[in-house]
Amino acid sequence: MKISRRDFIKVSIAGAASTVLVGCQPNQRYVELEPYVVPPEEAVAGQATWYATTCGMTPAGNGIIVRVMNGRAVKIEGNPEHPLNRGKLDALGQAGLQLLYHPDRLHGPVVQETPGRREFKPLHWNEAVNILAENVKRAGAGLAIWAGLTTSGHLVDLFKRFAKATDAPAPVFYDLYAALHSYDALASACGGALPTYDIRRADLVFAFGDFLGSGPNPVYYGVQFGAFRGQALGKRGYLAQFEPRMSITGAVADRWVPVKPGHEALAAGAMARIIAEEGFGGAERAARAGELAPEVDVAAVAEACDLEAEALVKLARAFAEAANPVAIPGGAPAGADNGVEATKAVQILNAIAGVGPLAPGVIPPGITPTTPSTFAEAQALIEKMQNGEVQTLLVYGANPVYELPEAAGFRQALNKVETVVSFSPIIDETAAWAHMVLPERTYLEGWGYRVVTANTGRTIISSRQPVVVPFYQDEATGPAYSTGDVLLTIARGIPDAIAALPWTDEVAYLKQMVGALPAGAYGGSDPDTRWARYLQHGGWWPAEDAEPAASIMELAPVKVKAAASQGEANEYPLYLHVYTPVMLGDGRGASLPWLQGSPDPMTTMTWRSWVEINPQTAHNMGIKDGDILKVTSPYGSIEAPAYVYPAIRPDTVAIPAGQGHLDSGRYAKNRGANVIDLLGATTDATGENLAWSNVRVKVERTGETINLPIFEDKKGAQEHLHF
Amino acid sequence: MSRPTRVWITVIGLVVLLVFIGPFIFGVLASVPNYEQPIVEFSHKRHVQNAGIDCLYCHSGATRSPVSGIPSVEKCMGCHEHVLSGEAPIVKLQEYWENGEPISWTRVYQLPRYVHYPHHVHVSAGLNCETCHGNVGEMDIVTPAQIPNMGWCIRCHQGEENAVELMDCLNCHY
Amino acid sequence: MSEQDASGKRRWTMIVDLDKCSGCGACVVACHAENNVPIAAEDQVVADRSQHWMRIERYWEGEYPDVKARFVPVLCQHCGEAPCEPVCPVYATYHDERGGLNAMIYARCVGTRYCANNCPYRVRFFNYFDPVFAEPLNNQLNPDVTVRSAGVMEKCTFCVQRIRRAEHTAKVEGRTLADGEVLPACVQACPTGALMFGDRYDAASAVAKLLEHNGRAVRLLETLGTDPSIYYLKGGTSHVD
Repeated sequence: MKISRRDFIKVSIAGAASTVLVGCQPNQRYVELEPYVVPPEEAVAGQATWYATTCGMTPAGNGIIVRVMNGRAVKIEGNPEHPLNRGKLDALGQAGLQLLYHPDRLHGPVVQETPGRREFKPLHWNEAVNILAENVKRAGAGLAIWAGLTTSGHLVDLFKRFAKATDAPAPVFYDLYAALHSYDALASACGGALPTYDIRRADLVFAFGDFLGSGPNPVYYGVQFGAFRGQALGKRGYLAQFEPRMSITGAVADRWVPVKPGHEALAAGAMARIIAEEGFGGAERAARAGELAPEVDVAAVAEACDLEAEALVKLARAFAEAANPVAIPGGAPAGADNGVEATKAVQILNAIAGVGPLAPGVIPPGITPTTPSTFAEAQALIEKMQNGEVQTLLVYGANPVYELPEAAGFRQALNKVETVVSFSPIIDETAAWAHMVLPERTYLEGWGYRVVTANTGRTIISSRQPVVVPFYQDEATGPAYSTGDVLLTIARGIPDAIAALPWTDEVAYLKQMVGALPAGAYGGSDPDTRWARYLQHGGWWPAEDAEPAASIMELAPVKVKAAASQGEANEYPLYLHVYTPVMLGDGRGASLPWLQGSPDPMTTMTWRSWVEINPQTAHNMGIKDGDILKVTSPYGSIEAPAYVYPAIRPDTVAIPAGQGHLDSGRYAKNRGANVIDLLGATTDATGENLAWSNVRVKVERTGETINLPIFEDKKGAQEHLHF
Repeated sequence: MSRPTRVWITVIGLVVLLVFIGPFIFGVLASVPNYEQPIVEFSHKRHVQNAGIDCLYCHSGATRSPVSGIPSVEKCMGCHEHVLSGEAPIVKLQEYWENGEPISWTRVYQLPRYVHYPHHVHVSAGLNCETCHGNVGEMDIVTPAQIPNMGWCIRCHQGEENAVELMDCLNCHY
Repeated sequence: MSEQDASGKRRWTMIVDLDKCSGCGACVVACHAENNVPIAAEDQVVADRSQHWMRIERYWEGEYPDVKARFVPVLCQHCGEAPCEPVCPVYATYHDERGGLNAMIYARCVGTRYCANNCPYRVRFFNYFDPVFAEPLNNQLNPDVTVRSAGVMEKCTFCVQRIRRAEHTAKVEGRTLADGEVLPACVQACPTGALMFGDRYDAASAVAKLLEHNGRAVRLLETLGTDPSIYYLKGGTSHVD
């Protein structure tokens, strides 16, 4: 007899604790009530308890509060006290609840004999940890760790300590979120820190990439954008967006400037030149522009960018004459072969205006930020794997088989690794190729903390605590280990590691860490009080300054060339614009039905990949909505339906990332195409960062057509609402 | 009509009767209330009259939550660790406690699933538990004092000053 | 615009500042999470059976390169003169006089779909099937909200369960509701603060103040005489050229 949802709801209102049985009578009249054996201290039946923790869906480190009713997490909201997102949260963050209750989560550790076969056999936790310990011990310096950017700070530290103690190579922290938001290029262009700006009181913003729907900190910027647009009468902020395909930021911009792909930074340079030559914005700004602006011919640059010189002059003037202008780098330009230079070219506009990115906070001793590795570092590890130097590979919070271009060779390199261990809670593409999976608790059930990646002038340590008891505690597989405890347990058997990882469990580690923190915004005289407040308020941060400090950037003039394309123009006539869609992000949203089924704001598309194409280009090629297109780059090809998109350059097609999973649960599996298959493993000019945004493609019709799963009514698309 | 035919008709008639009417009879029998609890000896009367325990001691949500709540096994054991700890029903309770198992109580008051009823608002408006639940202190095994259907709600509310407001559908149905 | 009402009635009102809406879809997911709104599978989306109580409508204006996109979050407008109400043969949808909500009583609904047919905003959704929440995804369900079964119409309730919870708490504590005490899930989530919520009949409330002499405030299809409770603040402008 199945339990209907309504019965579940009714009974959980009544304060039932665990399983619910419904009588088999025709009218289901008898419901059994199961009270707690031992109730949680704070729980009142029928009233919610809210726990503060940290979002694990993106690396941003947004503070969240989770509504828990009768032991079940039922809603995630932003933590109002959290200084990064101030009570607000994006679609991805709210949908994280479905990760906790995902039907395809592993109940306990599994092993498979042949990687890739997906024939997993369950294993007792103790046995799994013992096997892992054995392997790690045997591997010695041949241990390698690959982790994603959502990894908790305490694990980052434990991974690093472990690697150091066993002489293993330093762990790599790299995932698709980092890749497609060019964390590496942005940081190396901005002195090692991700540039974050305060736009609350800006009157003009020039942005070179989407910062409201994706980017390193969409919620932070969302809150800021509200203030930016809501300033007193006459001071409403003006936003100009320079991008070849209109993102949601482009949609809300006052002006969308469709610069030719790879030329965005040239436009920035030309505007700096114009400010210098025309003396816009007063002597001081003009003088700074004179020092920093590249020597370029404005008319020639305008032509190369496919813009009118006059328009550039107007924009340059507006920027120079604005009281508080800000230029936000990022987006596709940062992911081109000259991403670092392109980012610097944008920063020069800021330097002319006299604004710098917000200063990074001082990180207290004992706290470990999750610093992203560069693509080159990731590749170096893959090379080690290929050379057979890696015996045991631990993959945590990342999914490199899905996330890396084929050319990076990660999948092939896995064959050379004796033991591959994944910690994914769901069998994802990498876990499918692992020998063993020790499923980590989801972030809603686990301990940890994250140092937020945004530099907001102060350090924000966002705490993570279990809001519910671990959902899967199967008798057959024994009490579940968190990955932190797995590491600490293994370390006990390795003489070199035991000194470096002496803690009994991860909570002891975290308590010690928090106890040693200086007094923050919430004070606390003794370590226990500090620990309690750290959990209660959702983290540790210093009291807020009235005005966050900006950092000064040392800049030299940069003369950027247009990004070099991967692929010849005659063979691959179109630019490929890859972006992370609002709902699925870099693909970690793909396993959650709320995100798969909620319409993409620009296209209202659900459940699919699609290719955005300009109406004129589509018309010329005879392409209509829903026609399945074959998109081919020098590196591979994918198929996806066309979506005729009015706000994209005619020489560009755009494809969102996130779909095309072969595993990762029933909602993601075999759905759409993975745009990463079109990318190469080429690095940029510095040799450090992945060049992902300068690939060219050709598009062909396959002859097939489907009905698009869109929410909008395209038949009525000609009727406009006018405000 | 020959005799065997008549027998056949009777047999078929009985089968039809059994097949079509049987489930109805079964349904009626099956839905006859039976409020037997997993610990059959549990008596509200003893707790209220002999021990003098207030309703709110066990159903503590009633003043602060929409749900009055059922006490946890831990709460039962809070007293019964020492009180009557040797008696058979208490041994049964102790077994639940030692096995870490929740007790599956049979629900006595069951509202339809599309109704939201707040205990705390009614209690804070001055209603006694007995008003709706009857004199539980007199009952060994609790049975419903009334069937909590909408007519019963309305009968109470219609006399009130803000009756129209209180009888609005959206008050309880969402 | 702010009418004082002595009877203690409220007019729950939402303001959508189109100048701040970034179309990020946080409200859409917040609504699904709060109200147990089922997600339609791909074939159901194609069959035009998706259910989103809150949606972001995107309108294109102009042609490349002078193209603009505008976002309009659309949800039940909680009309004062709702076209859906008089056509319901069983009074499953009616007007809640106390809060000015357009009420939808699932238990009464017999699924004629007249209301959806008569709604000019297309914000009413019909449950063609019983919703499916694969085990253990049913754990995500909000116990404060009824899960609608097949044959029942559903739509935005202004998170009436949150209104009721707040009202109950206030009543128990012996006070009246404070402005800002009730936030529907979408308003709570909105990163840019484009959504606001409050009682327009309370002259001191933030929404009443904002709507007073606000030249930017319009209502959707106002000319139909539906008297919606949702005000949209037109996009502002600032020019550099």
